[in-house]
Amino acid sequence: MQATGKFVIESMDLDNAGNASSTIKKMLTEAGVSKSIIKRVSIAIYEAEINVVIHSYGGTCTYYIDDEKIRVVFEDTGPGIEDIEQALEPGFSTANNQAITYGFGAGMGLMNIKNASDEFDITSSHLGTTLDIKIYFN
Amino acid sequence: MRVIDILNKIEGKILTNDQSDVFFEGIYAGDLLSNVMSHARENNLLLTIMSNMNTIAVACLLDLPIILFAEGVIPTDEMIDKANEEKIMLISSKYSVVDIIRKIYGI
Ligand SMILES: Nc1ncnc2c1ncn2[C@@H]1O[C@H](COP(=O)(O)OP(=O)(O)O)[C@@H](O)[C@H]1O
Ligand SMILES: [Mg+2]
Repeated sequence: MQATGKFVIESMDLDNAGNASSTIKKMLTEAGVSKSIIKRVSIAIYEAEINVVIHSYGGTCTYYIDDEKIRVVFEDTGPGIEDIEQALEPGFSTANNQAITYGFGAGMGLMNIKNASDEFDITSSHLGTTLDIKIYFN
Repeated sequence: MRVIDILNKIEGKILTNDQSDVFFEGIYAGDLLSNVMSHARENNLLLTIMSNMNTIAVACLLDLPIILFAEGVIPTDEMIDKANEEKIMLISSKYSVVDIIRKIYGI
């Protein structure tokens, strides 16, 4: 399998969040990828999409699928993460009230993404955050 | 377990089109979607008061066949349409999460 594509993620568009993860889940299901891998991919992409929605000014999600893995890159335009170590701690969250009423802001997202991924790389400045993850199919 | 085994006990109302019997394996109760994402297992019934499009999205990603809304929470028409499309059953009950669990398990 070879596939690549890009989703635009709007800031605070809470009702449409989840588009990238559900589309990619359907693609991997059709391609016959195992359920346990699909679950990890779904968790990682969903949490990352939500982070771009609730914490950033907006961004994109680009995916690259080949026979052995999926790589997904999330890029947003800021305001960035001040302290990545702290952001990765379970329970740390700066989510606003609107996000919290939607069920977000548990502070578990980045940890969930890291645990679900085989490779996890995050860089951030005030100009934006880039999250680059890979999950292997075998 | 089957929907037919719990519906009367919790005075639940099915809100989606398909009224046929649905199987599920255990219950995951929670409102924080990151916790649902990391702890709910395939075929769990999701018991929650969190009602928005993301609840449907999470159920869909995790292959949860049923969302049971407690405390009389009624999802929007948009949510019901999406659930119909994704073949997820939505049920609403007037009871609290704890009372629903007590009634289902007889404790
Ligand atoms: N794309 C992002 N842009 C800016 N800040 C972010 C981004 N992603 C995560 N963060 C910061 O890291 C914190 C922890 O993220 P996460 O573990 O997903 O928890 P939550 O989203 O529930 O707050 C967030 O509260 C936020 O401060
Ligand atoms: Mg998050």
